[in-house]
Amino acid sequence: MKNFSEALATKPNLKLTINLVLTPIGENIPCEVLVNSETVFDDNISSIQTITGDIDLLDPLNIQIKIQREHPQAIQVMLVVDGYEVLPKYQHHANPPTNYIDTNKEWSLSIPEFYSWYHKITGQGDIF
Amino acid sequence: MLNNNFCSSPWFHVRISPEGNYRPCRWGDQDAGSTHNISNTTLTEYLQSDLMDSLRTEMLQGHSPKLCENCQYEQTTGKVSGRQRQLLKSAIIETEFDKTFCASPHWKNFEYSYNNQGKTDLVPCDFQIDLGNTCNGACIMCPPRYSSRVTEDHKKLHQIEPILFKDAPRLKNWTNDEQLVNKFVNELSELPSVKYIHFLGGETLYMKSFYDICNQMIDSGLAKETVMGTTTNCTVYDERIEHVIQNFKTVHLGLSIEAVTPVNDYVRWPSKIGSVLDYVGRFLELRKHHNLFISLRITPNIFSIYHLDQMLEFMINNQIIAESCNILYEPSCLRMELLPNNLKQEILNKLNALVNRYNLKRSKNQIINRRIPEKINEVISEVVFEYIDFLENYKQPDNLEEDRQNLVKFLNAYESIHNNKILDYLPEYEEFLRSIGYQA
Repeated sequence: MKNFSEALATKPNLKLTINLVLTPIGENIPCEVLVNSETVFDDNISSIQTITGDIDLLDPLNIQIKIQREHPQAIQVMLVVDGYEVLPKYQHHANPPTNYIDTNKEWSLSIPEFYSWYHKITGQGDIF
Repeated sequence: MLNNNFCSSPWFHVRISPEGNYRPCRWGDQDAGSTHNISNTTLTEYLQSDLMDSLRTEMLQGHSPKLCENCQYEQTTGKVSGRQRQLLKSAIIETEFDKTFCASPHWKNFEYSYNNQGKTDLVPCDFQIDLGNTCNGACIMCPPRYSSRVTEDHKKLHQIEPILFKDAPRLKNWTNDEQLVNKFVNELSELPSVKYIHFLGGETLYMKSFYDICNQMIDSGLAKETVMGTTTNCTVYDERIEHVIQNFKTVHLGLSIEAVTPVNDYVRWPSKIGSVLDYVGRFLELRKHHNLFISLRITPNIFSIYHLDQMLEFMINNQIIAESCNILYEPSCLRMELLPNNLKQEILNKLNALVNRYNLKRSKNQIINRRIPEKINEVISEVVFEYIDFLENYKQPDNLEEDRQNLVKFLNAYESIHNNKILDYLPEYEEFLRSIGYQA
């Protein structure tokens, strides 16, 4: 007997596409990027880096970025998930609340489950 | 197809009709074969009834029940439909259906219903409560069951045009029964939450039951947690509304106006636009001090559409969004689709001039939840373009000539009892109306 997902013919293994763009302010900035605790980038940045990938639809999305900068170096972060802009528009949900990383303190963004989270932060109203 | 037809409303929404009968949906007025009434069934019993089980099963099979035809029509016009708004309450968006359906916090509830013949253990939290049809107005597009005054008008109109106007029986409002009202409020109080409740008349601000129910909800503490909506024709201002607005979590007040010109007086007879606008001003004043969200509930018809540009400009100047429940298609002789091309083009020219005057832009994405104060300007722009698109793209009905002949009969009959003439309000329509046989 088909289960609910199969019977509804919804696509199996739905994924979220992640598009993370790092723009360095300055050259040779050591930078480590972790997505869901997995290192996806660990190098010095001197030019724009685009990191793409996908995660399961219902997985949380946790992004951590650690840099070792010297004044006035910085890294600017842009994030698009499934074509929806997350950063810089909703940078106030990051910790610290910015998309412009200019300290050596770890920067992070935690999204528990993307679509419900996006519904809430874009003010789409109560979920009944 | 699930993505075209599925609606999550049957998992959380219940409507009660003016007679006290249960209905599955605020956007479809059909009873779906129900004999359930507020007197014999509780709110939760109805949501969990066999009838609603069947509806949920139909939804999960991707069918589109007849009940859903209003929303299906809305979607063909490009307007935001009730279905889209209900889906949003499950965090489902149509443009990303598969993903948002699977990610919906209600997914488990859909799955449970799928595996249990449509059953649910959910209780309702979203309501439309039709309090009855007591009304001080006799709007020409209103069916008798929503206005006591239209009911009386139809008794006379039936004598003049028996085919066009049915002799509707006088309706007995369920809210006339005080015990039923108390039962209803007690049931509401026992629910875990009432997220949204919309009261509809008649003219709600004219009805004792509206204040009675609201005050009971305030006294029980329920109001503080509840978003309440209602709709008024702006011909009544009762200071008791201020107490209601102050004591609910948020109030959504829909203003049923068709034009900011005297055309409103003709369509929403016997209103007087001067006092209507005075009352609108008082509501706008209240908005400054309370959690009051105001929208215009326009349902343009073949006449009021002519002054839609002024209505929209009023919205822009007063920062009020417009929501229309449906594109008007009953009475079919008042449909905008009966316009002759020259008038349609004039209306389009005026709307396009408005777009240029205010530099309005189309939104990149359709805004489904329009009751977000920060998005008022975007929503107004979207409304303007929706009507432009509708006028440019609508299909004329197959029985155009018959509907236009009925329009003449409709006007002659109504004007004989309202003692007015449409051409006094819309002289621009003279050539068109004369061409189809109107002679008044």
